[in-house]
This record gives sequence, C-alpha cells and structure tokens, in this order.
Amino acid sequence: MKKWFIFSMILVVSVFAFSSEKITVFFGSWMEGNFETFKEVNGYDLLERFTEETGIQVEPIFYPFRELIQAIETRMQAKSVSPDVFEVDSPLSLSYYIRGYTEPLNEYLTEEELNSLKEKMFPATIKIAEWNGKLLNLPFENSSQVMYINKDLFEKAGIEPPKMDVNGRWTWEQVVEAAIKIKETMKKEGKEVWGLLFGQVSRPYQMLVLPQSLGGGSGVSPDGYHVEGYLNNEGWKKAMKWWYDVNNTYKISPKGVAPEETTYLFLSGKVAMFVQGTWDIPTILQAEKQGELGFEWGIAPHPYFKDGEPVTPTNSWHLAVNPNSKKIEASIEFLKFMSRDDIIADWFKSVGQLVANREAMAKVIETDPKYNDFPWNSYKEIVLYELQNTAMPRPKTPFYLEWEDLVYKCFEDVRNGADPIQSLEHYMQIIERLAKKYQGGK
Amino acid sequence: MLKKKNNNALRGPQGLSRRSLVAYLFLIPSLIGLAIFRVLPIIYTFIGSLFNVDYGRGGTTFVGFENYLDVLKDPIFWNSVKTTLIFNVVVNPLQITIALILAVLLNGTARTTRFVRTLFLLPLGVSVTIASTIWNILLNPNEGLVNSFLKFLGIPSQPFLTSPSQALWCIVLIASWCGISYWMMFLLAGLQDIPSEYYEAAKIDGATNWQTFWHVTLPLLKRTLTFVIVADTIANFLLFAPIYVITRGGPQWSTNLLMYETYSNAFVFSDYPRALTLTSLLLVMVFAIVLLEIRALQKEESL
Amino acid sequence: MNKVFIRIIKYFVLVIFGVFVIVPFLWTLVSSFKPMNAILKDIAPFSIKTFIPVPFTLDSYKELFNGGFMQSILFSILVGILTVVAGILINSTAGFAFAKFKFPGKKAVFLTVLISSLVPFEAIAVPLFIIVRWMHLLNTMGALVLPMIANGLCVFLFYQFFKGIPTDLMEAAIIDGASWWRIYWQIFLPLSKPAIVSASLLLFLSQWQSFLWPLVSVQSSKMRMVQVAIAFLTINERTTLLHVLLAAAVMSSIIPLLLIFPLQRYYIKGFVTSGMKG
Repeated sequence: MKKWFIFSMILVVSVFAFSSEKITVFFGSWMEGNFETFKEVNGYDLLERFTEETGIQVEPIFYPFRELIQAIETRMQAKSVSPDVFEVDSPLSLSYYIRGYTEPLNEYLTEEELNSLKEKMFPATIKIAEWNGKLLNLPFENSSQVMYINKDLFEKAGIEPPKMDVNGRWTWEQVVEAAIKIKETMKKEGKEVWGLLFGQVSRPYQMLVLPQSLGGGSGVSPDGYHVEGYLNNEGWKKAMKWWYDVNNTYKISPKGVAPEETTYLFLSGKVAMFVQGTWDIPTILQAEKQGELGFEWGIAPHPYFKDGEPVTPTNSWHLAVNPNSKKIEASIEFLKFMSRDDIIADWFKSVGQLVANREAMAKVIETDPKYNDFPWNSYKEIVLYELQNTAMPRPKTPFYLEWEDLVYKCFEDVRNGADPIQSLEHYMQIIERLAKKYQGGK
Repeated sequence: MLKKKNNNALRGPQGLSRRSLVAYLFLIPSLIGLAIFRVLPIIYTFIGSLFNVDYGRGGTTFVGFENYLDVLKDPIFWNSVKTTLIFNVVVNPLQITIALILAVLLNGTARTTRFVRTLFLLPLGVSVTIASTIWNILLNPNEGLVNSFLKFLGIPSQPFLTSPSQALWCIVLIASWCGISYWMMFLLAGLQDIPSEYYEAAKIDGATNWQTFWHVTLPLLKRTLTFVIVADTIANFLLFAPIYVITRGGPQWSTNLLMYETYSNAFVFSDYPRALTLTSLLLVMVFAIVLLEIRALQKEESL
Repeated sequence: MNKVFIRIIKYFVLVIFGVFVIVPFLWTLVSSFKPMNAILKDIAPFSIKTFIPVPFTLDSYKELFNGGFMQSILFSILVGILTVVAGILINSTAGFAFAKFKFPGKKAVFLTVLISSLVPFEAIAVPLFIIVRWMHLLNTMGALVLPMIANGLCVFLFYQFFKGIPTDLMEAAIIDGASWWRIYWQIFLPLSKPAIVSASLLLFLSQWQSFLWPLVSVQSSKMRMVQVAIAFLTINERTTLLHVLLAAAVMSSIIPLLLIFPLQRYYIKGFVTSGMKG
C-alpha cells in the first residue's frame, strides 16, 4: 500500500512538476556501499546534505556493479525519464552521447564554471569526457594501478623486490625474469606459485597500457571511427606476442582466473607480482589485520617496456544527465554539488576510491598524516605522480562498448593459446564491421 | 448407452457453442496475461527487426528484411547456430536420460530414498549465475578443485573452460548440474501419478524390472516426459548465464550460443534491431523443434 | 544374481551422480565458513583440508545478513507465493480448457500459448519495460508478479496432466448436473496434486531465480529480490566477494528445499487418490 502511495505521489509530482515545491532527482548508481561508508566515516548523509542545501531531493536507484550498464541500456532504449542522473564508465561517454543517452553540460554551466572544472580535474579525466568542445559528463571518480609485491616469495628466490619509487620503476623484462626465477625456485620446494598476475586480466582497461607503452597507441584511429591499421599495428602485435609468451611460453601467469577472483589468488600467497588498482589496498589491509595474510607485502610502481614509455591505466566513473529527464536543471544542481571540493574531499577520505578532482585529492593527501605511512604513502609516492604524468585514457570512440568486449575476447583468446597476430586481425575485422553504423554521417 | 445419448445431445449446435463459451472463459485469464506480457513483446520484436539503426546518419529507418539477409550472410551467426545445435543435441538427451534414471531409482517412500532425493535437490535454488561462478572456480585449469583432484589421481590437468575444444562440454556439465535435479522433480511427480495396480499387475504377470519399466512406466510417463522434453529444450536453447558469467562466447567463439549472440547485439554491440532479428530467428527455430518433438512423442493424440 | 547385479548398478549410478551434485555443494558449504584468503589456498593441491572448514569463521554469513539479506529472502518468498497462487489458478484453468474442450481456434490458441513460453527475457526486456510503464506498474509489486503469472509452460504442464484423467469422470458429473466450475474445482483440481506441486515449483523457482527483470523494473531497495540482493552483496568494486557469494549460494539453495519438504507428502497423497480412482 505504501508503495502504491509513494508511486502515485511520484506520478502526481512529475505530471504537475511546475506546481509542486519539492523536486526529486532519481540517481542511478552502483555505489550503494560507498554511500553507506561515506555516512559512517563523515557523520552525515551525502544526499540528505544536498537536500538541506537546495531543497531538491535525491532518490538513489542502486544497481549491482556488473549489471549497471545493462540496466541503463534497457531504460535508455525505452526512453525512460528516470534515472535523471546516472553513473557512466567514462570511456563510454561518447558512445552514450552519440546514441542519445546523455545531455552535454555546456549549455547549463557558465564559461567560468566550466573552466574551473577543467582546471581542477586530472587532465585524463577531462580528455575522455570531451568531444567537439562539449563536456559530455562530469568526471567523478578516478583510478590508478600499482604493482603489489609478495616480499616473501622474492626473498625465497633471492631477488631484491622493486621499491616504492617512480624512478626505480621496473621494466616488463625485469618482471618476467624475476617471475620465472620465483616460479622455478618454488617449484623445487614442491609449491606451485605464479610470478605475475593482472588484476583486471584481459580487460582493455588494464591491458591497453601494453601496446601504449610500445608506441602502439590506443587501438582506434584519432577521429574515433576506425580500427584498421590501429589495432593491428606493430606496437599491438608486439604487445600481443608478449602477452602470449607470458601465458603460454614462460607460463608465469595462471589461466582461467576471472578478473573478479584475482585478488583472492594474491591474498592466498600464490602470486609474486600482482598488477592491480589501488582499490585493493583496503582489502589487503583487512586480511592483514585479521591475521590471515601470512606474508609481507609491498607496493611498487606500474612496470613498462624497456624500449617504451611508462604508461598507466586510468579513468573511472563519471556522472551523466539523462536527456529525457524532466528535471535537467535540478540534475545539474546535483552534479555541481557532487563536484564541490569539500564534498569530493570527504568522498575520497571515506570511500577509498581515487577521485577526478585533483585539487581536492592532493589537499587531503598533503594534510592527513595517514598518507605518510605504508601502505597509504603509495598515494604520495606513486599515485599522484602517475595520474598527473603517465595516466593514459582509453580510446575515445562511439563504439567503445563493442571495442571493449571484442578486445577483451582477443586478449582472452591469446591468453588461452590462440595465435596473437591472427587474433588481432580477426577481431580488428569484426570491430571494423560493427563500426559501420557510426560512420554514415561523418 | 445413456451416456452416449447425452453426449450427442451436448454436441448439438447449441451445446457446442455453450461448451466453447465455457472453454473460452476458462482460458481468458491466462490468455490476457500471455497476450500482454508475451505476445505483444513478440510482435514488438518482429516489427523492430524490420528497422535499421545508423547513428552516423541519425535515427532508425525501415529496411524490410535486410537485417535477416545480413544475419544470414554472417559467419559468426552460422557458427552460433552450429554451436547451439551441437550443444542441444548433447545436453537435452543427456539431462533427460539421467533425470529419468534417477527419478525411477528414487521413486519411493523409504526414509533413505527420501533423504537421498532431498540431497539431489540441493542445486534447485542456486541460480545459474551463482552456479556458474562456483563451477568456474572448480574447473580452473591451474587452481581448480577438479584438476587438483585429477592430479591427486595422477591424471594430467585439463584446460577445461579455457580450451576451445573443451569449453562447450564444460557448459554442458554446468547446465546439467543445474538442470538434472529440476527435471527429476517433474518426472518424480509423473511417476507418483502412475497407479500402483499397474505395477502389481506386471508383477503378477512375472515381468522383469526392465520389462516393467519399458512396458508400464515409460508409456504411462509419456505425457510428463513430453512436457519435460519440451521444457528442457526451451531452457537449453535459451541458456545464457554460464556464457555471460564465464566465457563471454569464447575461447575463439566456441561457446557463442545463439542466445548470447543475441544478448551481445542488444547490450554490447549497440545493434538492437539485429538483436531483435536474432530473437525472431531463434524463436522460429525453437518453435519448429518443439513442434517436432510434440508431434513425434504424441503421434496418436491430436489436439 | 540378477537382482544383486541390478542393485550394484543402481548404487553405482546414485554414487556417481551424488558425487557430481554433492561435491561442488559440499565445497561451497565448507568454503563459506572459511576466511576469504583460505578459500583458494586450500583448493589446490587437493587434500583433506579442502573439505574441512578450518580456520572457521562466520564472517561471510554475518556480512550477508548485515546487508539486509533476510528481508530479501522474505520478500522473494512473498512474491513467489503470490505468483504461485495466482499462477496455479489461471494456468490450470487454461490447461483444463485445452485438455477437455473442443472449440473453434483451439489449435491456433494453443500454438500461441506454446510460442509465448519460448521468449527469452533478455530479448524482450525493452518492450516489457515499456508495457509495464504504460500500465503504471513500475516500482510496484505488480511489476514483479503480474508478468510472471500466466506461463505457457505451466499451461502445457496442466494440459498434459488433465489429458490423462478419463473423460468418463467428467461426463458422469455433467449428467449429475454439476457446473463446469464444480467439475474443475472439485474433480480435476484435487486429482492433479502432483501437477500442482510441479507447477508451483516451476513458478516459485522462476521468481526465486529471477534477476534481470526485478533489476530493471523495481528501483526501491526495499523491494529487492533475492538474486538481486546477492549481486549487490557479492560484487564489490571490481572483485567478487567470493566468501559471501558462497554463503549466499548455501542460503539460496536451502530455502526452496525447506519449502519443498512439506510438499513431498502431497506426492504421496496424489498418488493414493488417483490410484483409487484410476
């Protein structure tokens, strides 16, 4: 009964929006846990604070992480007016814009507001959200990758592990060498361990830095409409061959482990080097606190190829406005609130995710003594540097959704032993075919 | 005699229409539900498959059957058809045979029988999604339970889901883990409905267990069996979760079942009309197969 | 000799299948009581440790139930029961009509019902969403229950069952002047207990396992179906909370079993009644 009542109220409100006093913005999100943590740590409810300040209510609609994209697709294809605001994985910005899922922000922000936004965000976050001078959505969270080290395994193999220092960054060549040695040493002891594990294994988010480091680029043409000659260039071929060798020639990385399970494998002590986002720091800390970890761990910067550039994965979730929304103005108000330095600082402090707002994040890191000690000092020593200097966004293309899926399959096939060059050519052709539907009006 | 006369009276022109009316009344509630929530979406699906989407030019245009011609020229589609058919030719007989054997073995009221039966029903409530996650861990080529057990027995490790030649069979295994207990339930219900006199009569005639099964159980179970075969076929043709959770159609398209190809087009390849085209084709295909199954199993009975 | 041989085969089959079904479940059960880093540590190499819950912890269950899992279980049971009650009624009447009546257009209607059971949810999510929105049912219990009541497979199940009940029984009742409703309600429905149990199972599990539709059609966290809740509780950032997932698997398999337990008796009852009348 209560549901019915609320529902009819919402109906009435949306029909007579102009005459009602309270506006409710529906917010599609997968971060339910983050909002709870925010409240616990900061002592106030983020969404309630917004209502106190503006009189606009925000009703969150939570989706599970894996299904957010699917739920958004269904609702947007049905031209639903709700959610008004939703979280978008930033490389999808252009895909959503081209298909009419997001309303660019330029019209609703003053020149001054726009410039100050661009000023205080990390450059890569603005880069992925801009298209033809339009800001397609609001950069919100951010991400960066480091290499977690199992120091015990290094010690047993008699190797000095890499340090938490961007100037002492290891090359992939060093990584492979150490991984082989560790694996063989442990084998003599009768234990099977793995030298190297990618946390987001086969996902372009993480694998893309391999060809990027070798000068292969992002795999899509600069205008965002083609892959031929870009996904199958020399850099990509080299990177793919290396990936093949890691899994099939040197066999230093386990097959069949899904990205969702990698953290468990590292925690179980079976992995020497674990390349993963900073978001796993709290998880490892928790295991350590409960006395379950059983090994010494360290953090080192993300590796790169000897003949190439240091490049690191980046970008995360942005906030977008639904163009079918009947409450765009109120939604923009909410976005402005969610980009404010004080709010973002509280988010960063409590939630454990990096944020797109450089100024707010740097300030917290500089002032909070927590960031002087391990493991959080990695933010000071590595993460800030990477985000400002080595972070490389994923390709900006309307077919990112298609590209992501097929490039994942390509890496996965090669991981499982398919020919690296043939696989690249094969998936390049499929992506090129799927790209046709965007090329018409170019 | 009297009955027959009455019957004839009822089948007169007026009686017939009154009976038909009653039939329609019995049908209407479920027909309304199906019309709104199933038939309308099917119509939407078919109409939608006649349009094409071009984000470059903007918007959708009517293209007739062009999407169908496109799809029929696509080697990935034909690979999916082949994979789907191979999968179903194996998985359906396998599941039903095992479910039938187990149902017959566990059809009783003894305490142990009931206990074992309950144990076998454990997978019922586990969603296919969760079951897939668990099996993915168990079948891991390096760290999985199955391989570490094989190693224990001295058998070399298998690549399982990471191998293009084994992945589909692993999906068969996962689908069977989820499905066999489910279909066993239906067959058990069918067995319970066979009157015990038939078995007693068979016993008196001195029939062996095998003869009883073949000449008493199976014929009397036919209607339930028809249902299970049809329902199982549908479920397996539309199977989706293990592919979605574990293989995403790979490695090298070896598990790219038609249903997953449809899903990919709708939610990943941003080609909704193509997804609707695939749905329509899938619908026609399953419908034809299901009709064949019903025909083959119930030759003598007409609708 | 023959009997012993059959007995051996019988136990062999049961043991093989038992291992296949129970070992994964046993591993799930045992591992759900372990801390998260021990789960993969103990799985290989294979040893007795794989199946002993040491070190023992209730963390995963605590995390599961602190996240409002109980409420989701109760809500799913409620939705399931509503669907079963309404579904049994309207699908069995339709099955009755198909099995015992001749009427114009019967074949066409029957084929339509059959086709309607073939549509995959993933493919019709968008039109279904539009229809339910048009009926103003979004975010209500109605959105969850109504589309799942009428079920082509369920109609087919009852049709198959009713066909097996002799027509004499019905004709005799007609002569006695019984109404059609009474014939259905007092003769056919009581005889079809095994079919009702099967159909209930089909309908209940369809709701118990439903995931995408509740996700798309209902927004409130107070109306979270069990599989959706599991997805929320187990998928954290970019990793699966494996230990919580295993605990959820255990819980989500036990509850349907608890519901099936009392129904097992109806099998035997149904068997007795139809045995007498058949």
